Amino acid sequence: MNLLSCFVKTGPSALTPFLRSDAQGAVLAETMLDPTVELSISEIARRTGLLPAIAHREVTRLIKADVLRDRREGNNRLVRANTDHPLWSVMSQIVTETYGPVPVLRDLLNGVVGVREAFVYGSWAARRAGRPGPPPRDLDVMVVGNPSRTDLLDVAEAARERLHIEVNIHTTTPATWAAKDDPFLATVASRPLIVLISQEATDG
Amino acid sequence: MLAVQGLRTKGGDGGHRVLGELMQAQLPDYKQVLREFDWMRQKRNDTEYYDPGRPTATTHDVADGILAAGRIVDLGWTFVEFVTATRR
Repeated sequence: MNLLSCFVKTGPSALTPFLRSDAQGAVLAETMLDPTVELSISEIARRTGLLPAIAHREVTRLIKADVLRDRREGNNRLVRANTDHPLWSVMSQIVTETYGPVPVLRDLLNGVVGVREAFVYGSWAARRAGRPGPPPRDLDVMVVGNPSRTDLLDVAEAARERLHIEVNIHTTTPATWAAKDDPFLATVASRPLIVLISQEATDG
Repeated sequence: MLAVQGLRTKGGDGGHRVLGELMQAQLPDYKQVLREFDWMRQKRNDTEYYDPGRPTATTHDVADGILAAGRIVDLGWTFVEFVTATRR
């Protein structure tokens, strides 16, 4: 299974030439999509799947560029996006439409009953895993579990409005996903998957 | 639903998508029912034009689709009767 290696990948961005790396894109997505939220670096590392040292390095670079701002609260260093940056509007749009899918879909799916695991697959996942190609035209999401279709249609609609890209959500039961004897599921499992919700998280 | 308004979609690529979008735009209060049409359209497309990277319809999708189609047909009849009655 190649999940973890995709999740923590820190190479150059295949999603956009305007960001330095996948690590930078992931950090920006976690901070810029909701500029009212302040996050510690360890929380950013946890959400992005980056090693804490890499998250720290990326955050420090972004603070130096005044893209992020920080403040101390006790022993914690809290970070938030700087909405006063002259390029805020352009940057936040680029970040939302390239690295936004993970935080947006993760947050939307976290509120849905019956979701055991969720991944992005298809062209967006391939780019996020560093495979070059044209910009993704849609987002393909696999949900393992037994959520209601109405809830997932709500999620797809909300994600499309936020990310400005078509979102298709496919569900499969845990047993079918574990067996992977369906040619489609076998194909999906053999290609890059980007984790939105892990089974460990839902079990915990 | 279109014909009773004197409308029709053009044939060819995207006709079904436009039909679904138009009806959702015309009846925003019934979006939850009508968006099921788009779900079925996508599922039918992926099933008919097979690609191992796209999911085909499962038996669960088919059972769900029959129920969803029933709701859309019921709404369609109500809509057609309403439009016809307002013309009298």
